[in-house]
Amino acid sequence: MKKIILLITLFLVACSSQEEPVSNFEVTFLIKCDTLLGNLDKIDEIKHSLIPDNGIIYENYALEAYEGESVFDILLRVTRDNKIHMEYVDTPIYNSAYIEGINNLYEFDAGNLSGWTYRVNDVFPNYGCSQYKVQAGDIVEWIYVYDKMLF
Amino acid sequence: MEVFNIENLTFKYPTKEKAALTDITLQIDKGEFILLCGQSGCGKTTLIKHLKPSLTPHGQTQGNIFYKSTNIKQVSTREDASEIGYVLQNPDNQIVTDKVWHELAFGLENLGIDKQQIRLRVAEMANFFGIQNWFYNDTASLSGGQKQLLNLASIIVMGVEVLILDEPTSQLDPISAVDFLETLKKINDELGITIILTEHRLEEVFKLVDKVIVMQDSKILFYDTPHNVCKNLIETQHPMANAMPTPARIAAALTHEELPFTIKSGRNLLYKLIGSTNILADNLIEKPIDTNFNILTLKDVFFRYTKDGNDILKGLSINVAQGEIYAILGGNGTGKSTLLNVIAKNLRPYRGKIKSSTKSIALLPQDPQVMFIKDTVSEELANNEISKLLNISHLLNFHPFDLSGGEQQKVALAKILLSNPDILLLDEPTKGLDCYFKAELAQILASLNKTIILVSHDIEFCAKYASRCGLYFDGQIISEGPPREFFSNNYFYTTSASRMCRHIISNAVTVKEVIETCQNQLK
Amino acid sequence: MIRCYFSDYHPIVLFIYFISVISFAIFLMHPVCLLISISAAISYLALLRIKKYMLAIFLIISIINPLFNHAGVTILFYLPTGNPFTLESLLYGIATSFMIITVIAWFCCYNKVVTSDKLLYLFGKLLPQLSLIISMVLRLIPLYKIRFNKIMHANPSDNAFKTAALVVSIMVTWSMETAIDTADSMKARGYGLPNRTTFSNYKLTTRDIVVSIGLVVMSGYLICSNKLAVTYIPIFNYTQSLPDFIIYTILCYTPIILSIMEELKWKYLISKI
Repeated sequence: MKKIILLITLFLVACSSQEEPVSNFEVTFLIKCDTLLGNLDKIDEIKHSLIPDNGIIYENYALEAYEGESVFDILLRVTRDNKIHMEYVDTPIYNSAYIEGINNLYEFDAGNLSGWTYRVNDVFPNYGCSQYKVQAGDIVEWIYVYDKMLF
Repeated sequence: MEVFNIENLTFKYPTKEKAALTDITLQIDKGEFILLCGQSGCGKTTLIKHLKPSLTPHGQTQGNIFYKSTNIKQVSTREDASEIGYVLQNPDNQIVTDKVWHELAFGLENLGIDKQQIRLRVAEMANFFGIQNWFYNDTASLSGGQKQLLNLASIIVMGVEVLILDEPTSQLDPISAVDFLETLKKINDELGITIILTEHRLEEVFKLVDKVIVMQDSKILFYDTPHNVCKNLIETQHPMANAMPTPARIAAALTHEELPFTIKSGRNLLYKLIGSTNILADNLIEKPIDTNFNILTLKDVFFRYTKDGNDILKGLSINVAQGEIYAILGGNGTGKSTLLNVIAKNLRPYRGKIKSSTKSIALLPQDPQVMFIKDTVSEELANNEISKLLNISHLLNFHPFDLSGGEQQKVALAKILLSNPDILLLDEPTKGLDCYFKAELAQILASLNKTIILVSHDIEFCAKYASRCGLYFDGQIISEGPPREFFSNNYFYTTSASRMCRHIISNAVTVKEVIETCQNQLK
Repeated sequence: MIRCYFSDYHPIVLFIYFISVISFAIFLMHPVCLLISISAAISYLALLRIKKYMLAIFLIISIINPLFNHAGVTILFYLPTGNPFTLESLLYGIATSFMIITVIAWFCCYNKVVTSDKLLYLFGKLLPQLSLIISMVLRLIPLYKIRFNKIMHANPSDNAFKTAALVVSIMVTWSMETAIDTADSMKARGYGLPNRTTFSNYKLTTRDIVVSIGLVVMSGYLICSNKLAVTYIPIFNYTQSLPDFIIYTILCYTPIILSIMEELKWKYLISKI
């Protein structure tokens, strides 16, 4: 019995210690695969139905974000809240998550160099999405590219 | 017309000083059934291997052998394979393939016979030997007798004219052995195949063969009809006289008439001599075993190998007295060896009690080979004095596997005696031994002064040397007693002497006893 | 219980049959096909002894797949790793485990029907020497097993390592010794003569040819028509065609159909007598 009480107390302490984020702000957040629209022949026919007509899987121009959130944190939150499929792996070398697939569109689905990448304010940061902290007004885009070398 | 004509054959193995064959001259006629016997090591096997060119050993040879009037050296490999058949001693080792039908076809395949022809010949043979019921079986699933029958059939199927067999029944139980020998007789009678057989079960063979060759020390001692050979051996008091058929031995001591080889003719002779009165020989009283000093007691022992398996031992009880030789007799593959392993504590019974006043129990397995680890006999025995006791001092420098079956048996026995056990368990100790070795083994066992439990098929051996016998059947000892009481109570499972004098002399079980009782009666 | 008459057919027929059912079992992952195949395999085994390990394989593979494969459009819940657990992945896992169990069941049937001598017959023609060697090895395995047990009994010891060394040493010497006998027995029966032939018990009859053609035609049809496609991941999607299902059923159930036909024939013959 004592143990259970102890556990409950610990649990409550743990919950209460999770402080509310200090401040929040808005960002633009997009997940799109429009690069594939012109290259449908490169992707397996079964996956055609997964590509929206306009190439945009998710868009929100006023997404609430919190201080200290990374690009990955937002992606994880958004896909879960909107029941969008997403699979990732942790890559400890880069201390970041690596995105393998969103909406069942996976890396290599459209060729050896295809996969997901992100850019913020039209710039491709050359480090992991868990490392990039967003700031107010950022335009964060997840883009499916069929050739990572082109970007 | 003769099949083999051997002229002054002398042969010496490269490594041996003494000749293995000395000046052998003999003719073997077509269609004859010839028995070749003699003490092991007398050169029997060497001689018959000379009749099969592909198996002839290397060494110094003088003299000539003619096969159907051509020198045997000129006989082609094909003729050798297709005309001269050879069956070896061990049924297991000769089988080459995994299926019965394939084994039958093996020789014909080698000869390059076409498929249709093989089919016909194999079918014929399967019918002749009654193999059709197990034609598709795995060779591994056959009994020893079936295996040897298959070996025989797979040679006969090649259409051989001569059949040479090297102690083919030595590894078989008595019933399969008699079946096998009778099959040989049938082959000889119905197919006219010449048969040359070495054998130590002379009791059963003498009545089947046309001629007997007796070899001694690399020479031919006798070559005559079975009757004359038997008579000669008994008259000259040759050690092999003890291996002659029981009726002949009894008759030879009592009359000068023609020697009988079968129980039936032996009985007729006894009727003629002493009439049909049922005599109870009162001079044959056994000294009772003192069962108060039991060294080993098994009470209601049950054993099975697997949980779902059948019981092998079914409530077996047995008392063994200190210093006695207890012989367990019984059919083949019924669990006698299992019983010994239970007593030796290699296997645990799931119910019942085993009490023994000693922990020192040693088991001599059926195949002595399983005990040999070292390269020479002396290493095997750690140069112990024991070798003198067992009369194997002359074997110390040999590799255990180079010895004959009887010698291996003695070395294995010596090896387990090293631990000086109080109880000695012997599994078929006389298997494959000739009469000389049996007598020697009996002498050794008696001189050990140990408690001995042996399982055996060898009725004559047990009758002669055991202090008590037990009949094992269906997982139990169903009757037991001192040999005379035990065997004279049995109708079928008893010695030849006892069968011969049933209802004539009711309590004699050995040849000696019958002769003595008859002689007393005739006075 | 019906006797299996199919195993009396020529080995080549059996071989064609098992080749096609086993490869279709692997490649036709359509749920209906899986059900047809597994039901046929299990009824052919006729023992219905679905072993415990089969159930374990089923559960493990069904669950393991979705734990590691996160693709699929229907997200059921999220795993502690943060990745989704999807319905499609689960279905795929179930289908895979079905497929594996089916293949195992087919191999069990295969083992019962295509015995070593039939296999040897099939390949013996290509490599006659090899087939004899295999036959000899198959003969030696049980023999050595028995010898091994005998040696173990004769040399009881507490030290397992020592016993093993001892047993190996005795086995080798003993076997070499007996191999001399075997060699003699082979030599005595003319092994090594030129123009060796290979004997077999099997005869290709009309019914064997008919059934072989039937099996080949059905397999060929299924391969060419290619109408029974299915995808599990990321979207569960399948096509169907009734004739293909029927033909696949007949193909898988061939041994059972043939056995029943034979059985009926006997009944008919008996009633006539």
